[in-house]
Amino acid sequence: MNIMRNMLCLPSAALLLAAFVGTASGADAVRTVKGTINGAVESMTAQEVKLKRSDGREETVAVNAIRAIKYDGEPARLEAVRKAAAAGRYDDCLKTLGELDQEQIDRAEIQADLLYYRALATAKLALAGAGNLRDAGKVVRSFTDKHADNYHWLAATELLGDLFLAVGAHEPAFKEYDKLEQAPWDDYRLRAAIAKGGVLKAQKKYDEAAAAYDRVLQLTKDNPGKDEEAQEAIAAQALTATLGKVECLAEAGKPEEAVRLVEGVIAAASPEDSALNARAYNALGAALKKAGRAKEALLAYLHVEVLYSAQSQAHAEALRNLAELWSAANQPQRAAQALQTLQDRYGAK
Amino acid sequence: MRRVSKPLWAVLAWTAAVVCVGIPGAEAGEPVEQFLEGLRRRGWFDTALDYVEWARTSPLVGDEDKRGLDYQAAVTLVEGAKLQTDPQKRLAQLDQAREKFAAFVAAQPNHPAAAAAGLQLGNVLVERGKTFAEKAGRPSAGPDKESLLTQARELFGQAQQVFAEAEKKFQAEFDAKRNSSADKDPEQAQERREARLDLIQAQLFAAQTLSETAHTHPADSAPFKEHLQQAADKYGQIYEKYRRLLAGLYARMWQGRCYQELGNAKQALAYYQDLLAQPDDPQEFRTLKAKTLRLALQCWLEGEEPKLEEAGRRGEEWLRQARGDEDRTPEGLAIRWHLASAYERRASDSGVEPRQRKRLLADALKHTQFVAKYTGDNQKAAVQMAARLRNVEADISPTTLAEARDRGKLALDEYEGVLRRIAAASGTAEEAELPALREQADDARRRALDDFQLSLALRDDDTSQDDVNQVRYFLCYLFYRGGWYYDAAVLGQFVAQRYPESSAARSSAALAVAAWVQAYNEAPADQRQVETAQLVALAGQIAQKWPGDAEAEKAWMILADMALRSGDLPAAAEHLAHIAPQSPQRSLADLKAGQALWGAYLYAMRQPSESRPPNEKTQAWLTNAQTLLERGVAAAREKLAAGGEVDYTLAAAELSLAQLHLAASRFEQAVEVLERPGNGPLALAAAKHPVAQQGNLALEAHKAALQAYVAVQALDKAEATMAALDQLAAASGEGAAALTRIYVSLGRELQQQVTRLKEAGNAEALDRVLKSFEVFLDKVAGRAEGNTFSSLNWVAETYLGLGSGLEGGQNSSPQAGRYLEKAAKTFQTLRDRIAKEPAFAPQPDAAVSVTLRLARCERLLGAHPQALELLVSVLKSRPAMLDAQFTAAETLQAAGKKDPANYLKAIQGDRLAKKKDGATVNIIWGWRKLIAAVQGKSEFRETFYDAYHHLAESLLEYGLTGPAGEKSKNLQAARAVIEQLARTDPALAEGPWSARYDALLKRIQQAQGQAPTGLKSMLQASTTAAGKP
Repeated sequence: MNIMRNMLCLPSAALLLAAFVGTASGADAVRTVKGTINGAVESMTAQEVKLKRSDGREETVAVNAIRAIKYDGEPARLEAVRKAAAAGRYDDCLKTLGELDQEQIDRAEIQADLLYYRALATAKLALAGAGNLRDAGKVVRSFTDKHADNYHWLAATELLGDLFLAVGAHEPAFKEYDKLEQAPWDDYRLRAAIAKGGVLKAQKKYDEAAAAYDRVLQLTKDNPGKDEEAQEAIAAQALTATLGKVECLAEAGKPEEAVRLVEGVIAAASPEDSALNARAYNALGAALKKAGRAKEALLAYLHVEVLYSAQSQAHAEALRNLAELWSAANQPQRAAQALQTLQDRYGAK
Repeated sequence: MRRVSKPLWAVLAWTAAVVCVGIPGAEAGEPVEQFLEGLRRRGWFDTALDYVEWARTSPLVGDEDKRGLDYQAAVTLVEGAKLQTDPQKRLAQLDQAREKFAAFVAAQPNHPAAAAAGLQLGNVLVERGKTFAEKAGRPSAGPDKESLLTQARELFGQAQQVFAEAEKKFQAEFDAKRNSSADKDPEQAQERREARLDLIQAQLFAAQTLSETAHTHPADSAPFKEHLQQAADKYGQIYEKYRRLLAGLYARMWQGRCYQELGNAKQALAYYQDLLAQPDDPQEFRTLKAKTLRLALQCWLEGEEPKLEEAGRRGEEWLRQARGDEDRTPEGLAIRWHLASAYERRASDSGVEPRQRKRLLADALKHTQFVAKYTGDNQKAAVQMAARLRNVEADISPTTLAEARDRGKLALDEYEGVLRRIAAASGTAEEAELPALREQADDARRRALDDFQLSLALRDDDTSQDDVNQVRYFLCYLFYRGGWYYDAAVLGQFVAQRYPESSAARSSAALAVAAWVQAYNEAPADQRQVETAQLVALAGQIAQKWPGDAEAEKAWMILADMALRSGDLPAAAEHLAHIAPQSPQRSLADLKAGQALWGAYLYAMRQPSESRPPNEKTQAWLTNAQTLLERGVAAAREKLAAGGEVDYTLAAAELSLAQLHLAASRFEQAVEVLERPGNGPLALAAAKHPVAQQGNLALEAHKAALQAYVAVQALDKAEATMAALDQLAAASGEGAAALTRIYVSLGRELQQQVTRLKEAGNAEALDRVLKSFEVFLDKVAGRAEGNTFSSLNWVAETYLGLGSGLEGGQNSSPQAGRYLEKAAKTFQTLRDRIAKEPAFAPQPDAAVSVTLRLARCERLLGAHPQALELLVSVLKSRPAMLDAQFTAAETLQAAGKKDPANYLKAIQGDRLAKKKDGATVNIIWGWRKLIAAVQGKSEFRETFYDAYHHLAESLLEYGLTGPAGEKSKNLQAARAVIEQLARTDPALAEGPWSARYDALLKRIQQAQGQAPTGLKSMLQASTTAAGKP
C-alpha cells in the first residue's frame, strides 16, 4: 500500500522539488504538539527555534513545544531513526544510523541530529543494562559540549544527569538537573525537580525525596497550566512526581499506601503513555513485593513486559523482577525466559 | 514433464451432475444421489457407506433409489480407494467394488444405472492398473518394476476392450433412439439423452485409458508418444462431436493436457485459452475453468520461455473472483501454489528492484503458507518452500505496523493449521509426524509472536488505536495458546478495561476470562485468591459493559463453580445471582444457586448455635434456596417435557428441594418430589437411571424418602425404603458398616430437625414428626422377625436423635427421657444379643460402639455412674480409644452439676488403676491428657478445639460452683486457657470455633466481674502488650 502510494506520488514530488530549487532549506518541518509548521529553520538555541515560513512570515517556537524537526535535505532514513527512538527501538536506531553515509551530509543541524540520536540510543541502552554507562556518557557529553545551541540540548543534559545518577555520581547528576531547571517553562522545571528527587531517593534520603515530590505536587496544584497543552504537560509531571513519592513510601515501609497511590496514577494516566505506565507498573510491582503480595507484584511487572517493553530501562527492571518472582512462583522455565530476554535485549546478566 | 493426475472418477462426478440437473421433475423425497455425491465430494466415504445402509430400510427413500443403492455403494468404494495410500488395501477395496458392480448389473440389468455400472467395471480395471503402475514407480519395486508395469498395461488393455465394446453397444442404442420419434415423446427423448451420455462416457473412458497406458512407458519413448497422441486424437474427436456440451469441453481440456505432456505447450495453451474464455455460469463451467487454469499455469511456468508475469496476473485474477471456498479446493490450492512459484522465480531475477523483490517474496510466502495449511498434493512442498522464503524474507523486515501484523497473521494461520493437523493426527498414519508437527507449531507461534510484537513497536502517530488493540488481541491469543495464562490475562484484561469500545474488546475479555480460569486451575488450591478476585472484577466489568453478554455469564458460572468447589456456598449463590433473568443459563443458575444456599443453610444448622451466622441470614438462605430451587426445577421440568434429557444437576436439585420440604415439615410435598415420575430422585433410583448412579444421589434419595414416608405414616413404603437402603449398603461393598453409618447419619439429621422445630417453636410439626417416628420405630423394633443389627441400631439411633434433639442440653422433657430410655433399651438389647450370639454383630467392634452409644444415652438420662461404668469397661481393654475417653470426660463434666468435684475429675482424670509395673494411672484421662494426646495432629483438629473448650468450661463451672475460696483462681485459669490458645493459634480468632470460644470467654469475663469484651478484644490487648506492630 505504501509502495503504491509512493509510486503514485513520484511525479508530483518531482514537480515540487523543482519549484523550490534555490531555497536550500525551504522544506524544513517543525512538528509541534499542536501540528507541523513548514518553513526554513533560520536559527536555534537550546530554548527556541526561529524559522521563516514559506509565505515569508517569521516564527519562533519554544523548544518545549517541539516534538521533532525534519530537515530539508536530510537522509530519508533519518525519519526511521526518529521513529525507532520514539518507539524505544534503540538497537534499530543505532543500526540505521550506522548505515547512513554521514560524509554526504553538509548541513550542521542534520549532523547535530545524527549525533543526538546516537547519544540518546546509546544512553538509553546503557541505562537498561545493554552497554557501558561511562562510554554512553562520553557520547552524550560530546553532544552537549558541541551543540549548546541545539534544540535537543536540554534533553541531552537531562540524559547526562540520568547517566551520572546511574553510576552513583549524585553531585554531577544534580548539576545537570540544575541546568534543566534553568529552562523558562514550568513543565521543564518540574521535570528537573522530580529528577532531583530521584537523586535524593538514590541516596536513600526517602523522607527528603518524598518532601521534594510533595513540593512538586503542590506546585502543579498551584499552577495547573494556562492552556490545554500546558495543563497536559503539568498533569503528566504531577503523575511522575506521585510515582517518585510512591517509590519512597514503599522504601519507607508503607507499601500499602504506596499501592493505593500508584493505582491512582495508573487510573489517571493515558494507557498509551508508555514511559509513565512502565514506571508506574514497576513502582506498583515494587510496592506489592514489599507488601508480601508476590503474585500481584508479578502481574504488575507483567504489564511492563507485555505492554510497555519499548521502555528499555523500565523493561529491564521488570524482567529482573519477573525472573525472581517466576522463580518464587515455582515457574523456573518462565524465570529462565525472563533472564534470557534480559540477556538478549539488554546484555544484562 | 510433470505427470498430471487423471481424475477418471471425476468424469463420473460431472456426468452424475449433468444427469441430476438434466432430469426434470426428479422424484421428490430423500435426495439420495445428491446427498451421497456431496458426502463423496467431501471425502466422507465411511459416512456415505453408512448412509447407504441406512437408506436400504428407510421409509423416506423411494423404491427406485433403493434399487440403485448397490451401485452407489460400489461407486463410493471406488472413489474411497483413490485416497487409500496402502496399495494392497486399495486393491482389496477395488475388488469389493467390482463384486458389487457385477452383482448390481446381474440383479438389475434394466436399471438406468446398469450401463454406467458396466462402465464402472472397466473403471475398476483402470484403477487397479494405476495401482500397479504406482507400485512400479516406487523405489521399493526394484526388479519387479517391469512385471508390475506389464500387469498395469494388461489391465488397461482389458479396460480398453470393455470400453470399446461398450462404445459400440451404446452407439447402436443411441443410433436406434436417434432414428425414433423421440422429439414427440418426452420419455423417449430422455432415453435418447441417457444413451448419448453412456456413449460419451465410454468414449472418454477409452481416451483416458490410452493416456494411462502411455504413462506405463518411459517419457519421450515412442510408445509413450504414440499412446498419448492416440488419446489426444480420441479427445479431439469427442470435442468435435460434443463441443456444445460440458463433456466436449472437458475432452478439449484433456486433449490440451496430452499435448502439454507431449511437449507442445503452445498447442495446449491454445486449447486452454479457448476454455478460459468460456462463461462463468453455471458452476460446472467455473470448475472446468479452474482445472484448466491450473494446467495453463503449469504451461506458463514450465515452458522454455516462462511467462511468469502472465501466470501471476491470471492467477491473482482468478483468486480475486473466487467464490466461497473455491480457493481451498484442490484446483484453488494448486493455483495458489503455482502463483507462489511464479512470484519466487520473479523475485530471483537480478533485474528486479529491491522493493519489488520484497513484495514478490512476501506474496510468495503468503500463498505458500496458505497452501501449507491444507491437506493436498502440494502441502509438503509448500511447507518447505515457506521455510525457505521465511529465511530469505527475514532480511527484509517490515517497516510498518500493518506489514508486521499481516506477516504475523500468516504465521498465526500457519500455527492454527498445524494445530488442526496435530489434533487430527492422533491414531492415524500421521501420528509419526507429531514431533515434527509440534516443532513446526512452536516455530510458527514464535514467529507470530515476534511479528505482532514488532508491529506494536512500529506504531506511529498515524496508527489507529483499534489497529493496536487488534494486534494486542492476537498476542493475547498466542499467549493463551502457549499456556502463558497470566500474560494473556493481563493483556486481554487491559484491552477490555481500557478500550471497551474497541473492536477487540469483547474477544479480549473472553480470552482474559479463559486465561484467568486456567491460571486458577493451575494455581495451588490455597493460592487462588488473586485469580478469583481478578475474575470477579472482570466478570463484573463485562456484565456492566455488555449486559447479558455470554462471556460475563460464563464468567459468573465459572466463578460459582469455583466457589462451590472450594465450599464457599454463599459466594457461589452470589455469583449466580448475576445471571440475567432472560438468560438461557438462568434455570441452571437457579438450580445451582438454590442448592448452594440450601447447602449453606444445612452447614450453618449443623454448627452450635453460638457459631452460626445470624438467624435472619440463615432464614434468608432457606427462603431463597426454596424460591430458586422451585423456579429452576420448574424451568428444567418444562424442558424435560419438551423432550429434554434428565441430568444430574436437575436430579440433585429435585433432591435438595425434597430435603428442603422435609426441613420445613412439608412431608407430602417431599414425597411428591421424590416420587415424581421421570425425574424424581427416588423414581430415578428405582429405574436404575444412570443419573441416579452418580455421586450418592440414590442413597440420599432413600434417606430423604425414609424420613418422608415415616412422617406421612406410609409405613409399608418406609419399610420398603429400609430394605432398599440395605441393598444399597450391600452394593457399596462395605455392607453392614455402611448401613450403620447411614442410620447414624439419619439419626443425626432427625436430631437436627427436631432441634430446629423446637427452637422455632413449631409445636405442631414437632409433634407430628415425633409421633410418626415413634409409631414406626416401635413397629420396627417390635417385629417378630426380620430385624438385623442394622435395623435395631437404626431404631436406637433414631430414638437417641429424637431424645437428644428434644433434650437440648437439659434433661427437662419427659418426652425426651422416654425416647432416650427407648434408645438405651434398644442399645442394651443389641449388647445382650451380641453377647449371646457373637455372629449377630456385623463387625468385631460393634459391641464396643453400641456400648459407647448406650453410655451416651445413660449420660443424657443423668445416670452418670452407669454411664461411667460402661465407659470404664471399654477403656480397660482399649485405654487409648479417643471416642471413649472423650465421652468419659464429657460424662464427668456433666456429673459436675451434681457434685462440683467431678469438674476437677473431668479435667484431671479419674479411676486410678495399677499398671503391671506397679505405677498408677487414671483409666479416664480427663481433658488435659486428652488435649495432650491430640495436640498437633491435624486429623484430630476438631477434637482438640472441642476438648480445649470443655477444659475452659469445666474450669469456669468449677470456679462458679466449687469452693468459694478458689473461685477467683479457677476463673482466672479458665480465662488463661483461652488466652493461651488464642495467642498460640491465630486461626482460632477467624475459624469456625471463634464464636463458641468468644461466648465462653464472655461468660468468664462476666463471672470475673469484668466487661464481656470477648476474644478479639483480648487478642488486640495481648498483641499490643507484646509490642508487636
